Amino acid sequence: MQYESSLEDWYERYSQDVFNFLVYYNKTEDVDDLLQEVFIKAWKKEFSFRQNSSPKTWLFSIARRVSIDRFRKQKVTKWFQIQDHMQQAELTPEQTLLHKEEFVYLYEAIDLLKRSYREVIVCRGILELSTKETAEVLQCSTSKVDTTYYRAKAKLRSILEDQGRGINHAESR
Amino acid sequence: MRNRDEMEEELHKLPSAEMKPERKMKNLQEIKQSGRKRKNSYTFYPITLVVFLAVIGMGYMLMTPNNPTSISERHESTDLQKYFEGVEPIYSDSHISSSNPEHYEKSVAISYLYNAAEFYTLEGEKIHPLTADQDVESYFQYTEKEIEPFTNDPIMLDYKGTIIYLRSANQLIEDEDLSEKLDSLAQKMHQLNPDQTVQYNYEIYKDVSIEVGNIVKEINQVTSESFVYIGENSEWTIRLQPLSDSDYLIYLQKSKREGEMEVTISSPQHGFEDNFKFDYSVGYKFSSSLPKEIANADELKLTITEDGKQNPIVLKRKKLTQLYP
Repeated sequence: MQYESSLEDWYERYSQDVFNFLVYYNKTEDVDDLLQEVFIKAWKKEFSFRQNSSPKTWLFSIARRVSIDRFRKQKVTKWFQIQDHMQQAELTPEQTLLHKEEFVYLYEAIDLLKRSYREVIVCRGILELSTKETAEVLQCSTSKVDTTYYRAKAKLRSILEDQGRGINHAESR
Repeated sequence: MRNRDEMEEELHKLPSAEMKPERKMKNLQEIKQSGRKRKNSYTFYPITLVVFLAVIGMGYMLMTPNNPTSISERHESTDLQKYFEGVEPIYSDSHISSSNPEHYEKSVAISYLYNAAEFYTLEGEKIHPLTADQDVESYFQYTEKEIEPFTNDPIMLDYKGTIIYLRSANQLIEDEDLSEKLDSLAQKMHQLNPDQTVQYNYEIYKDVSIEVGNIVKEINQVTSESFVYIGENSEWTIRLQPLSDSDYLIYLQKSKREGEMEVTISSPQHGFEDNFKFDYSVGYKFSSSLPKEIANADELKLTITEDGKQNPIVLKRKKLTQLYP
């Protein structure tokens, strides 16, 4: 079936990126339902995809949308609760991403940012999207991305310094 | 390419989340399953429900304002416009600083381009594309014969400033196409020569002026509206431009040119005070914590204090584009 072949093609090319985006954006590795929803919505909206834009950023913008919808339905959870997970069954290798001790301090600091700052940090800082790609995902101007990214990094630095975990301290670990 | 800062380096070190092949396959199966179910259900979708939703949708569209949320939903913007979309232009009539905040570099670049766009007619009249009554091309309609009585003076008066502003803007611009264009315009202006005929210089000056004029008019369509407060008395000239959040840019010039100056600018009425130190009697400075009510006032009453001497000054609010000739 034609729609399945194009859907599979997109899935093959972009599912890993979308998964990565969803994990960081939603602060959890439990994003299978969201991932599925992104590709289902993308398939349904395929006719409205503009050929001169990037499929990846378009998928990320859908991923962002479904994530926000989920936030509204659920309570916001912290990045992860170390104690809770420690009491659960042993984590699989896939489940250890957000539990890596050496990055906990950074995840917690990012969690303290307001959403607009967190979004840009995820896109520009963690996923290393360009300013233009980030603007497409977040549906804003490139100048807004630049300004927000600058401020978000400054805020992140400030949070880390307050926690006694400045960049130099982190580098020495 | 600017060096990434350390915070950015730390963020880049965070690991990627990866799906194992089994999980990836399972998710694909679920997607295909859902896709088939949805496809089947659409075939039997009640027509009445579709009509109902269409009516609701039309009502919603009629009632909500047409506020496009992305570039793709509006008319097609050029690459130049996308690069400067939403940027706050800054007003300047001179070089601002060699160490501007990074997130205002585009704003400063625009101020340099706006300055570069100013040109002179052969009659010596100063024109700016943003305030002119006509298109820039209209000011360059002289035939070769009509040019003969004129001299190179107005062109020679202006061209070096244009080159400096084009190069200064270029230093702050990361878009390669625009950067190449500005560089080529500056190179072209370099061909002007007082020893050459007016006709020769006029053609070059005309081409560059028209091109730069079109660039700033294109940029002006997508930048955000900006206001500047301006005040002047016998001792001081001051401009204060509110920027995003509580940021602002101050320009201060003392009438009597002395060396280093240290001043306090305050408005007790608004609980605002800030200190500035300039190496010379003139300077720009980016600062923050401008009270919101100041940024929206029609008029500002400030006090400039230097060496204990207070100097009140009233600033009037003007649209940025009104400041050009």
